[in-house]
Amino acid sequence: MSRFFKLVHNEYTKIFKKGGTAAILILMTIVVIVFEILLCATAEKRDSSDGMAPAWSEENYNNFYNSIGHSNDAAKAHKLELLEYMKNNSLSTNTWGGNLLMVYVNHPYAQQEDFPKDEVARIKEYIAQDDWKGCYSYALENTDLPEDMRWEMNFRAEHNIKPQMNDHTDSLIDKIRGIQADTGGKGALTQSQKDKIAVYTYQLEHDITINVADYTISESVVENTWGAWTFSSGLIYVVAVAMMIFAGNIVANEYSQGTIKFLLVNPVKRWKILASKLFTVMTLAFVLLLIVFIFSGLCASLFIGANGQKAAWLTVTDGKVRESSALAFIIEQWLLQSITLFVLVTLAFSLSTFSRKSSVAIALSIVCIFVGNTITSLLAVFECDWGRFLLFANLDIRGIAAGESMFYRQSVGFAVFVLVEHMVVFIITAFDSFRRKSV
Amino acid sequence: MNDSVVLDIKDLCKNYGSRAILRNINMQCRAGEVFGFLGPNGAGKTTTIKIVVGLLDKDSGDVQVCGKSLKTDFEGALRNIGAIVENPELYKFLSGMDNLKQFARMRGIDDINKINDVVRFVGMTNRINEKVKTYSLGMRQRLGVAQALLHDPKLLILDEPTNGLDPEGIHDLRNILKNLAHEKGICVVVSSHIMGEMEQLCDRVGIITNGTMVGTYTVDELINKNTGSLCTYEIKVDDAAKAAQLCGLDDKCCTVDSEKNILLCSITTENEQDSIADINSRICAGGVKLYTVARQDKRSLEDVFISLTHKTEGDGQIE
Repeated sequence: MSRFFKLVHNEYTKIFKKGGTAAILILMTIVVIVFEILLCATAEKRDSSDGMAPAWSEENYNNFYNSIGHSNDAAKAHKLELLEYMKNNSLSTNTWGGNLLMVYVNHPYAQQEDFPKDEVARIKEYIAQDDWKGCYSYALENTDLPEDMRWEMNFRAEHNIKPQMNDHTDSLIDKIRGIQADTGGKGALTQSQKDKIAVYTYQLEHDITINVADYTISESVVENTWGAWTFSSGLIYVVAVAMMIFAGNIVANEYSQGTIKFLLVNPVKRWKILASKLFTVMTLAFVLLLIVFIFSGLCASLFIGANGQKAAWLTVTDGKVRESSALAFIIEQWLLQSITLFVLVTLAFSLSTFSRKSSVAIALSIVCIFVGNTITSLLAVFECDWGRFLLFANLDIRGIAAGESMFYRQSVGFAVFVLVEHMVVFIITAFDSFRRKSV
Repeated sequence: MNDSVVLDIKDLCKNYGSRAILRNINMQCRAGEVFGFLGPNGAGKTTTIKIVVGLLDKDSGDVQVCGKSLKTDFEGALRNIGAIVENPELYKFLSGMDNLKQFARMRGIDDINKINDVVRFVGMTNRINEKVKTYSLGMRQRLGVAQALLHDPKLLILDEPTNGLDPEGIHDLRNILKNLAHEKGICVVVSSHIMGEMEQLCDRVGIITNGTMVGTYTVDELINKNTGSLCTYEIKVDDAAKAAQLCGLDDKCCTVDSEKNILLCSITTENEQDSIADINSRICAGGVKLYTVARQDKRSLEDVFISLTHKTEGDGQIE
């Protein structure tokens, strides 16, 4: 076994002492860096708008004051007084208290007596004590607020979600409300709708701002570390191109350099020599992948950041929400994408062994990818279902897992099987041809 | 003397499609000898060598190296073989030392001193850490020999090793190979076309033509005309026919070359000096001018080789 690793040692030495390797790696590094620069520079950063309620600005106050002052509302005196109160207590509409009181400011009253002074007074009391729960339950029972507000208050009270009045909880509650409204609130929700509500509710309850599962590579909304890091998994294709060059060269070069005879006249069986070469390219692919993974993670966290927002990976199974770490999600996304990398490396390696010419191996591999994808897409369009057995229909494991398959209902298990079977065929072809070939 | 057989080839056959390249090759090479593998172009020398080192598959027959069959114990057999076959290249972007380390790792050699010893042996100590692309042809040949000797093989196979070497290089290599065989007991198998070299270098030769072994001989028995108690004298005269009549020998002991005016006399080694003196005086007494008298010790290996392998049929076309 240690003899095998000595062979691998040999192969790595040959790769890294060759000048061409440095060139490829430098080129790859440049592409990766440029990608990350562009990504980080164009990412939209979220505003940090949590916690403190912004002060009631003079301008806002004046606007409201003027508009009410000029209106013909019967209760405008009360309104102005309320407005004053809000200003003095810094109850802008970004606070839950201010938001609630604003309803009264905006509501048109026909007569001055219509203005619900008692309600407002009670509400002010609750606000002074910062008792949102009490206030809401009072309001739900005793006041006549708009339907969507009532729903929200009810929801918050039920799930104990403190109204912090920042973007994040608002948008989530909106989403939930939207789904409910979709079926009239009473009608049957589909399982997927129920799942979504469950996830959003969980997020609200546990104060999880970011569900990383929302940021898959196909939804390229890069707003935070996790989204950026997931998006960077596209760099796997850059690694794949570089590795295909190494894989295409590693066997063919021995022939073109004329070193094959010295290599084979040794007390080592041929298959071991070939296996060491395959092992070398596979491990090298993994190492490069790891480096790119870590580098893009660093870039994402240093330059984009998450602004202290909590992130987790939420999935729903059987109606129950499961929380895993965000990092686990990222790793899963990268792993699924990287399967393509290893399959392509094996393809290039086999072509290299079979044809003994590195140019053929590299060129054919690249052609294969383009042509393969085109042909498979065409087959999908023309509904030739047997196309699902082809290699290229199954390369995008990540996509298949997310339900974006080319053919009707491909499953991940089947796709993995097809890929493994192809790799096995490639490897067997390579080993057999190497064993037989006269040199 | 019972030297152990290092390389044992039995009934080796190889076909390329319908063409028979090797037909029942039988050959045995022993430890401590330099064995020359000779044959015209296309005879099957390189094919045989490639089969022995595992670069080609044979169709039938058996090859054993130090008792290990190539078929059943490939790695064991190859452990005893060091070879240079058909202009192989070393890794140009690596130094000589790095190249040797590659082979050392493959052959399970950990001791750096062994590598240094071999480097010293082939005379490359000063340049071993430079990249091979800066080496001259002679240096690359030496490094090739170093690679072949790295793991102390019992069988050394060299295909045209003097290719491209300058006379001093050829001379040095010859000494190295003889030393390896006669002093270190290695079986050295060399294949070459350069008969002058082979004559000086080899102890035994195997001659192959058209895929078939013509035979194996010691160099001595091929080129020495001194079989038994006879020796040959070459006498240059001005009238060979007349000299033949005068010399007093039988027809069968005399050969006349009228064109070159040379008389070849075969006489017994017993009292050869007196006999030749007697012949000379008779020729002179008969009035024939006598220019040179030379004892013919050997034929050249080249002549022997051509006579053994020359094809009499065909009109000069390659088959």
